[in-house]
Amino acid sequence: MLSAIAARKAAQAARQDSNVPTPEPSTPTLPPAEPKPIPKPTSKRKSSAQSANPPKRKKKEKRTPATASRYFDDADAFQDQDDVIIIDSDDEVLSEDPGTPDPTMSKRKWSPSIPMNDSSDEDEDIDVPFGVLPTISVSPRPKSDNSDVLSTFHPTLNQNMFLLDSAEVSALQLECDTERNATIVALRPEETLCLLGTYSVSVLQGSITLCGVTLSSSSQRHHVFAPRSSPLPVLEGADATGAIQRITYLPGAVQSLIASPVALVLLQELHTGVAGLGNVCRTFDGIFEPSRLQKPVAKTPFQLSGVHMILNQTKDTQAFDVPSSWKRALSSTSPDTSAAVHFVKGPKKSGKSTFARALVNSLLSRYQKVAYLECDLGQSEFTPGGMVALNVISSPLFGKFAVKLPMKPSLTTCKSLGPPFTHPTLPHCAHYIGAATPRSSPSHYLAAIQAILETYRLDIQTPAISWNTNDDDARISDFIPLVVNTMGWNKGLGADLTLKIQDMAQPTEVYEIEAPVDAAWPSPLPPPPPSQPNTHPSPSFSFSFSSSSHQPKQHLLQPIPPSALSTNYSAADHRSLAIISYFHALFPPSPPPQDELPQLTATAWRTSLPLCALPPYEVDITRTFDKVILTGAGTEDVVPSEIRRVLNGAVVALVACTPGTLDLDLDANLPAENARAAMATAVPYTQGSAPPSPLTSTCHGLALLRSVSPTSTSASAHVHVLTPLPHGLLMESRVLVKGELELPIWGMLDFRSEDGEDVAGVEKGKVPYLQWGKGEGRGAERRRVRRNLMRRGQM
Amino acid sequence: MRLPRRVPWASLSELEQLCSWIYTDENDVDAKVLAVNRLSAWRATTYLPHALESTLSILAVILQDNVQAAPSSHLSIRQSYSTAIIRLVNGLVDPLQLGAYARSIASIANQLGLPPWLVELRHAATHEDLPSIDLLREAARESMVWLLHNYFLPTINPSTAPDSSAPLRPLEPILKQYKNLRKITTRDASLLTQYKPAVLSIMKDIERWIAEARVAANMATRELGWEANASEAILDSGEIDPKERWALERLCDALLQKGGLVPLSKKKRDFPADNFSPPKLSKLLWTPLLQHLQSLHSDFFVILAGRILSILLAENDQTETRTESQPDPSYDMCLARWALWAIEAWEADDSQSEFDLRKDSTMTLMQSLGHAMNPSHRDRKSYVQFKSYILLHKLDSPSSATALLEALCSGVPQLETTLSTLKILSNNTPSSDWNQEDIAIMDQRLNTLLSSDFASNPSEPRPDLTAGSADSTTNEAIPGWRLLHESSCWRPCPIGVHHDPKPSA
Repeated sequence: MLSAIAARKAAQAARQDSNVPTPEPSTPTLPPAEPKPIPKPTSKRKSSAQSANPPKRKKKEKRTPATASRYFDDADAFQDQDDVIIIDSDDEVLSEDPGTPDPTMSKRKWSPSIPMNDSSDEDEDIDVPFGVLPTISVSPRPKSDNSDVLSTFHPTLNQNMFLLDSAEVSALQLECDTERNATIVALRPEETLCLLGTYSVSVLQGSITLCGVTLSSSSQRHHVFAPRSSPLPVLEGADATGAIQRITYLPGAVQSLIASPVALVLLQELHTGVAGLGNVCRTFDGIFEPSRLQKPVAKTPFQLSGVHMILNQTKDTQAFDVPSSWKRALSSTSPDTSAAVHFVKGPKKSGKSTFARALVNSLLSRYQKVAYLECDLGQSEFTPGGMVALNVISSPLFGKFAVKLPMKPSLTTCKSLGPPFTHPTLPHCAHYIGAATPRSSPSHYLAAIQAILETYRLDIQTPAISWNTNDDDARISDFIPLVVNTMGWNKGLGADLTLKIQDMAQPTEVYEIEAPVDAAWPSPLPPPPPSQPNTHPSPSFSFSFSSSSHQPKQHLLQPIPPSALSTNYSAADHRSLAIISYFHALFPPSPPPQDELPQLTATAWRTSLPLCALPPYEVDITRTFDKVILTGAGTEDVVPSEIRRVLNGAVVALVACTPGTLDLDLDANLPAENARAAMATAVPYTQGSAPPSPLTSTCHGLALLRSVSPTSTSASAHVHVLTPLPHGLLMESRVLVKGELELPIWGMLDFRSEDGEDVAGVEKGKVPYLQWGKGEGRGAERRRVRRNLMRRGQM
Repeated sequence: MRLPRRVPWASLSELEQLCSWIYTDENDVDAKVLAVNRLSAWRATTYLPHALESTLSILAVILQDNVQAAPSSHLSIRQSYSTAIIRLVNGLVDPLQLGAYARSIASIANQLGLPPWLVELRHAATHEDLPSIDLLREAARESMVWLLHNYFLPTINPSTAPDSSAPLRPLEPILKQYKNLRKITTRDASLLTQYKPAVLSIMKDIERWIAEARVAANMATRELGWEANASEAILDSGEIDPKERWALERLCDALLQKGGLVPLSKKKRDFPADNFSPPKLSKLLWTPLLQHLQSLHSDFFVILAGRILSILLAENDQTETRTESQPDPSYDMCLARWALWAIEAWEADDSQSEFDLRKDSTMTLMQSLGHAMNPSHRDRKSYVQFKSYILLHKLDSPSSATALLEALCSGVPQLETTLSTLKILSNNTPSSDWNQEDIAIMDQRLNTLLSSDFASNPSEPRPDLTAGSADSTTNEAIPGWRLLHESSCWRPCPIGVHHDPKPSA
């Protein structure tokens, strides 16, 4: 019965989606009877007093649009409500207001444990069921009469669908897996095919569009990860002309279709173990299989295991589509190819990451490599959260299948076809902040971004051309453009930080996803004019930067409407999955030697064993690491005698520092008592030391210290470490930084045992750090914050 | 599967040790330093339970206050005390603000057993003059005592946990008041506007009661109280909050008592002959309240129908006779009619819903009445649920449940045919006729059913093994890093458990 209710709620949310018109940028949706906004000071910190409530009230009202609300239509005089009490308004500093009226909220009945959308980052881990959009944001198909039909393609064996055995596959001489069977599909122009699961795609003839990007015939193979936790990519026939010349042999039935007006697509099974992540993180169990609602509309006509054809839109499905305003912006990027820094900003839930990905794809059709700076600590595209990272992208997801065959120019771009957890990638350079938000260390966050921008300008922007081995590739190779994705915290301190980043990045193109006008928050200050750099009034975080010589080109984009998917999977869920995916990932052991800026993306996942059963590395922490550093609020109070306790089970960053820059000598100046304590613990930890300077360090990745040897047994401390990093990087990493990032609960469990009754053979009452059942006693739960309380008398 | 939650201690004995450091000797500063250090370390590993976080902040001030013989500024100590107490009270009260509307902090504190003067102190420290150092010291002491009795002791000895939560106040008086008001206004519609505020205030009162019931669910029934993480997970999947369900079920139980939805007097239970609806007067009286509740709690009708069904079916089940009351067929009939009303109101309210309450209720009824049909399996062409044959009951014994079943099925062709097939089946297959062949046939059907269910998801071949072995072959030695495996005597163990392998050669 419960799941039926769940289905109904999803249905409600989805239905609501189609009811709410996409707000036009120029006409923000405001409730009709809204009182005049009360002007407010910029600094939200000051506004925590009661007097600040009136503007917030409007924010609340806006979230429940007056148009489509049964809630307010009742005769119970809810209209009279005139006040909203915000509990704990100090946290309001961090609150994110989605701005967009969230239709799921208006239709979904009020429920106390569902916080309103303005939860701050602080509470996302437990408190935001659907407050923040998952990294893959959603844009529903255009609203048209047949918008719920996802696949117009009707497979008929040997007419538009052909099954190839492995011999026939190898005869194609493509770079596909010749061991496996394949299916060729003939798509007429504008015919669509929506597939769920994991598969690989090669276009043999004509071209298709996938996620709004055109794939033309080439021998290249594209991996597609299409879980139902994110919008499903739809294959659409685009053009029927042009086939791969090299194809000499095709099965007879297919041969007859050559030169007929169809696009020929080769589909193959793809087995990477990624679906096993659903076993580990049960929130995402079976996301590569049709859901209960999708079962009736899912088919498996291709005889490929793990590939399901979805015929119709269901309440819990979203198909991927790029809104028209985005397409315009993508096509109007300035042709100037010599100094391109693209800056994407906008509020949460508006689709920044989706747009940034589309932008990378679009740039990859002109450049051989694109650099991507991730400033969103909570929802990173390529790395697990908690770090500012720079990745150099040549072919998201397909790094292993480097282009070997000649191909037509501009048609060989590889597209990012999967949600972030399906392509964890080692960063080119990164700095660990250690939290899902820069709230506790804004200056370190800015310094880290500044350092990365310098690295980009010095080392990456204009590379040596050694990696360009392919003469036929006409894409630009002597310049690497930069895409900067920012965080969605665009209020208060977050807005200040984003402005600072923009000033440091000196973008040539700024893509701003518009939030509907929010009376409660003044719009962020415009960037300072070029003549007066650095006039922004918050000296505490000011950095020296030179203002760009010319104004960047501005693009205003529509936000994407909210979706039903975000009600099913919260940002915290996606964050957990990203970490789990990272620790189970198998990275290619070493980069191709000729590539100066390699892209190392995981291509398989070791998911047959839970983390607690994966063999770890044994490391002598005293000899192998130079320094152990704790960051995050309150960690200054951790005394050396407790450090082993803190490290046990911790997720830490592996940081490499330039030799000689680590301020080890400072330790000598510390009180002798402290030094003795450090010696006794055998852990190179000094209380209160600052994180390594971003200018002289880089974070290679994360490690899980799955256990620390008990204190006092020996002079040395051994840790058992799980990390997916290649050995070369492990050797360089001599500093451990522990932040607020934790291993998700899912990672501590053992999915092999029935009902989770034991972990690695230990019965559940004896598993350390885990407690089943409710904590007894008052105050046994983590603090929760409610911001949607109303005063009595509002009925 | 129920998720555990992350706690900072490896075992409860660690918490016990902490507790003894804090409480054994109030004047033992060294032990308190140990406790603060341990709590600070825990704080760095994971989020602390609120009670521990408060303990840390209060202890830290107490230490600061005790150690410094002549503090440079008493103001800073007063501020530290104030902050610690404000955060203690707020953090305890906020999770219990479960309703749509703010309840007074004092009333929640009362339910928690928190001393009222701490609540006053919180207010004073927040909005008024900063309290005096003496008062604050006393408040800190009292807070620590409260934490000992309400957090540490119950957590360390779960069995002796006192269940001192105030009992839920009865709902019946409110419902009675509502009924009387509605009676007045239905008799004389002109009084409607005059009594509107009164009716509204009752509805608010009922909402308040639901909020209180939620708190009671939170505190009393530990089974229901999942950790925030887990209950958010339920909510993420769109399912109803167990606390809300519990509260609404208690509300439905009160409504379903005689004198509630069912009139006390049997004479007033006049059932319309032409349709299967509740007595006219009762309908008139209660519809506004029920609709109002549904508008605030989207699953109210589902829960109401579910409660009625469970009452009816308990009555139907001969083994479980209701002891407290005589069989009262007209009461059951009235309930059955309300169930149909709720189902139809639900359908009218939410016609596009995926969830088919009518079908669901029919299924519940059929299964409990011993019938073999499962309408949702129609698509799969598998009509028979096997074990329910064993429980075959006779359909011809008229009861309110079967009446409801018939009423539910009437008007829906699919369900009608189902029901008629069933009747034939139940009449034609006396249970004595079973023989071995029947079981064989059933086995065969079961197998087809099972195979059709799982054929579509074959287990994905795991690439892990090959990938894993490839990984280990490329394992070159890195100084300081030694990859452990089974041969080095390492064996799987939970995260946080250190299993020392053989030292490397």
